[in-house]
Order: sequence, then C-alpha cells, then structure tokens
Amino acid sequence: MPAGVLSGILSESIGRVHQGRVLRRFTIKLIFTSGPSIIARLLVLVALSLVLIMLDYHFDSFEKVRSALGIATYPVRQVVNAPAEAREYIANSIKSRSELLKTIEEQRTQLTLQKYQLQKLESLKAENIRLRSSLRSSFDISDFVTIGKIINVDLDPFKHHVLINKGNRDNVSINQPILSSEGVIGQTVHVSWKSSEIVLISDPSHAIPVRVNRTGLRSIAIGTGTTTRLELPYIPTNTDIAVGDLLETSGMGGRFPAGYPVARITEVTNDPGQPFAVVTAEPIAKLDQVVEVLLVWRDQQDALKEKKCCACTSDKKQADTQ
Amino acid sequence: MNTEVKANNNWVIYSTILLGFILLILPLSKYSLLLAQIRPEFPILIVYYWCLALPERTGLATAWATGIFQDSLTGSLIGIHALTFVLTAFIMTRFYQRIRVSSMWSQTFTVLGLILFHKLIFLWATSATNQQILGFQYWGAAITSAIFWPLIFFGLRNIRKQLGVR
Repeated sequence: MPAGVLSGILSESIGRVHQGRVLRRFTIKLIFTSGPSIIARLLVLVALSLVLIMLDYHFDSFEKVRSALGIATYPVRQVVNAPAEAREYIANSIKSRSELLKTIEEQRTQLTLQKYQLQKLESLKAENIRLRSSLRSSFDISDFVTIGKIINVDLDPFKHHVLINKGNRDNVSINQPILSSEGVIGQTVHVSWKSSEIVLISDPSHAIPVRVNRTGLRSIAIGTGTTTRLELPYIPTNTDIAVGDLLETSGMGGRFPAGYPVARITEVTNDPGQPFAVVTAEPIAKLDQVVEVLLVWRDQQDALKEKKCCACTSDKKQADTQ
Repeated sequence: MNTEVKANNNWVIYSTILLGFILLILPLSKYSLLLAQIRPEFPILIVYYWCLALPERTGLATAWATGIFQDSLTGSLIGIHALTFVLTAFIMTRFYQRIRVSSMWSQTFTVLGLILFHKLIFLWATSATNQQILGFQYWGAAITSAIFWPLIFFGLRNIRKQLGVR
C-alpha cells in the first residue's frame, strides 16, 4: 500500500513535469498501449461493419439477427412510447359518462348501418363466387385481420416507415399487407418479437400493383416521399383514366390481396409532346394520421398458426368453388 | 486522496448514451417533419464527448456498438451507422489531445466537420444499397448537431464532474 501511494505521488510529479497536467492519463495510456493499436481496431471494426451491411443487404436470413437486435431496442422504444400511451389512458379514464353514452350511441347506429350493408354483401359475395366458379377461376375474398397500433417513435425521417405493436409473437410475417380502416397503407419490412416495421405506400422505394376500379386498367402506384401523393408511371396518353377514379389493389404479385382501396386519382396531365401521361393519385388512408392498423392474413390458419405457403390458399379455394 | 485511478461509474456513460437514443426517437415527425429531419445526432455526439473526456475507456468499440444499436432503432441497414460512427470516432480519438485544448468555437467546427463526414458516408452507403434520400434538409442535421455541441459538452462535463467519472 505505501509503495502504491509512493509510486502514485512519484508518477504524478513526473506527469506534472512532462505534461503540465495530471498524470493519470499517462499511467492509463501505458496500460492501453499493450492492447491492439487504434489503427488495427479501426480496420477491424470498419471491416466488420461492411460485412454486416453486405449480409443485411443480400441475405434474407439475416433478418433473424435484426429481429434479435429488435428485442434489445424494444425497451427504449417502449420508454419513448410510454407518455403517449399514458396520455391516452388518462384521456380515456376521465371521459364523462354522458360523453361515453354518446359515443356508444353513435357507434351503435354505425354498426347497424354497416350490418345492413353486410347483408347485401353476403348475397353479392355468394353470387360472385358462383359466377366465377362457372368461369373456372378462383376468387379469394376471405381474409382475416388483426388490429394493431402504431408505436409513437420516429424512425429514419427520410423514409416512410412506422412501427406497430405486433410482431413474431402475433404471427406477423415479412411482406404482410397492412391496411387502415380506409384503405391500404403498406406492408411489413422487418418483424421483431413484439413489434414490426412497416413501409408506407408513399415511401419512394415502394410500389403497389393497382387497378382502376372503373375500367379495370392495371398499373403500379409508386411512392413519392410525400404522404399525399403517389405516381402512376407509363400510362399512355390515350388511356381512359380520369380525376376521381378509384385505384384498388389488383392482387398482382401476390403480396396484397385484390380489391382493397388504395388511392384516388388527383391529376391527369396529357402533354402531346410526351409519350406518357403524368398521373398522380392521393392515398385514401391518411398515412400520416393513422393510429390503428389492420394486419391481413389470407387464411385463418395463417392468422392462427405459423404458416409460410400462400399460394396453396387460393388453390384450395379454387377446388372448393368448383 | 486516492491516487490509484480505476475505471468507475460505467453506468453514467451508458445511461447518457441511452438518453441520446431516447432523444433520437422522440416522435417529432408528428408535429413537424422538418424538425425530425434536422434533429441532431444525439447518440454519436454523446459518444464524441466521452471519446474526448475519457479516451482510455470510450473509443471505437463504444462508437461501433452505438452505431449497431442506432441501426436497429431507426431501421437502417445493420452496419451503416456503425461504419460512419467508427470512422468519425476514430478522428476524435486520434486527435483528442488537440481537440480537447482547442476553443469551443473550433471544437464546434470540428464536430460540424465530423457530422458532415458521417452524413456523407451514410449517403454513400444508403445509395449504394439502392435507397434514395431526398432533399437538402438531410445536411441540416450536421448544423443542428454543431449548435447542440456546446450544450452537450458542458452538460456532460458537469455530469462527469459531479459524479466523478474518471
């Protein structure tokens, strides 16, 4: 102990002479010079980062690593989301009785109206299936949904991604379609244990196969980076497409089930000098105000159990209808 | 007086970085997208401070781990933030003696340069992997980060002195 104190005093005085500052850095640096040099550490870590980028970019199976990392980041996201949840909870618990009664009354009326519409839908559905089966084509209408909520955290502000509170635990899978009560809003890109990240249809890297409800014209709606604008490329100038036309999912590509509303045409510009018309549309769902989302499964078994195959669903239905 | 210096209070370093992450994902885009886009890069600024203050303890490994965590948190490709953070933290760690004694003004400009460098590599890495970043506001975060640097520097120095982190 005295030796330690002595060497401490000694080294401190030497340090003062050498650097004019306290010596403790000097002693610690001595310890650290025995480790790998800073250049070596830099090279190793840079190489490791580059390898991770490549792995994440090229291999889907790397998603498992990301999912595991998502569990580590989950508490931080929960902490950030907590105030919003608390505010909602408090707002709900201090609502007056009359206000609640009013809401219940409104919703009951709405429910009755929607039940009435459903009655007609059932007969239409049956008729449609009968007609389609006479044409020997399959018609997939039975989808199953779960309700999820958006988690109040910011992700990369230059991408249109949001986080929802359903994940592996709830059998969410990658590329699963996500709707709001109004229309399609996007699909899942990363799935973690209790949360998953969804890309909105307005993200510049996202495109969704659509069809014009009125004419059946098929196209693709590409995100522009603005939540209120989608673009339809390569529409010839003489195409029958007009402002106000409804775009719905066409079911092409197999990711989005057919027939859900996506957007409404807001602008059609025909420039005679250009080979294609400039067609823009506005998403029907308010992408920046969505609070609750619907996760869609093709099949109840997918919704309940872990199941990968999607193509077999429609085959089975075809067999059923014939 | 205790002359033997041991690494202590690790939790202070980690919890300040965690605080940086919380600031990073606070939901600002609900109120103003621009504000969210020019939000300072809090976690790496905090790591820079610790690189400057305790270069023996906080260095490239911490920067790398912070980067991986940020990649997971913000949903970017795993490794992009880690790469840029390691490269810029290397500059900080390599020249900490010069940066530490320089004035607050020149420190702020150093941080501006480092964050611009980080943004540049990040842009390169994201566009190399087929993603687009639109708009000039992308570079705004470098300026706000530099503006926030004195605040972070003095704030964390206070915390470090109060809690005796060495």
